Amino acid sequence: MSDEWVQIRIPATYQSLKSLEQPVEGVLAGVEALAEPESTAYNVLLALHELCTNIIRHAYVGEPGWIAIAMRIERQPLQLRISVLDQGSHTFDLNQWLAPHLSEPSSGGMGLGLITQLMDEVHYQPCAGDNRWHLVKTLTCLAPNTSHPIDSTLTTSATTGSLRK
Amino acid sequence: MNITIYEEQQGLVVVAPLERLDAFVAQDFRERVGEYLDTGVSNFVIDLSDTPFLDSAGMAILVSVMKRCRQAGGDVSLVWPKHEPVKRILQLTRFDRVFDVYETRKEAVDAMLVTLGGQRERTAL
Repeated sequence: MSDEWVQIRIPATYQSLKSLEQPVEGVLAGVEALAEPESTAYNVLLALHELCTNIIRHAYVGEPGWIAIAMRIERQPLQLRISVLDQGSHTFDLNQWLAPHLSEPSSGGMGLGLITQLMDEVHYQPCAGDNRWHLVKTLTCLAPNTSHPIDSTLTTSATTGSLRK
Repeated sequence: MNITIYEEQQGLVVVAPLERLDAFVAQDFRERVGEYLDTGVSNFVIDLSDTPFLDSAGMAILVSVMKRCRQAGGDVSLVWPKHEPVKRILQLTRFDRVFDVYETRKEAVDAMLVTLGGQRERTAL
């Protein structure tokens, strides 16, 4: 069982990324008793922001364009699914990417590492003019009248489906 | 970019971004701090306590400024964001292993001034 897709389209500009906040919070507001709602919303927002930044920088490379984003909550298991489509003429070779160690800050390249840390699954289908990213975040709800998650096995794990490190 | 900058004693500069520090404003932030670096300032406290959002571009600028300052014999200290999710991301990316990070601006400034005072004494000897 899933909720409806929430779909937005933003210009591929850094300035437009501020507009991601409301849709992300809106989608997560549909999950009753979400554990750590503020952190969850921020982490999802940051991952999506980093992805869009990479698209602007590496897929469009200064060219004008759009980024289409669709999000929805799936209930069994409880997850947030995000699909991102861009029409940039450049693609990214994920197999060549070496994840920077987030154990030490660097003066560049941390964006994709953050995405893989903050989301549970990251999938990428490169195709010039039709690049697609799919992100999945496992969500946890609090049990009624407690501060404990209902199912402790529903914890975040850094499973990156399509990445080869 | 909405940012507060003021000069403390002994050439220390305090910089406080009051809005998102992200890819959109990163260049502006770099230039504003760069104006001080170009005049020889090499000690900064960057107060993130009221910074509501920080992305990898913003983090990269902080690292870049820190490296430049250390090459010039200075340093950069940070103040933890009050917004807990932002703080957690800095902890996740181990910023506290590379920077001295303090809970308040006062603590950061006081610590930096003690260090600067000690450096001046050694130079004078």
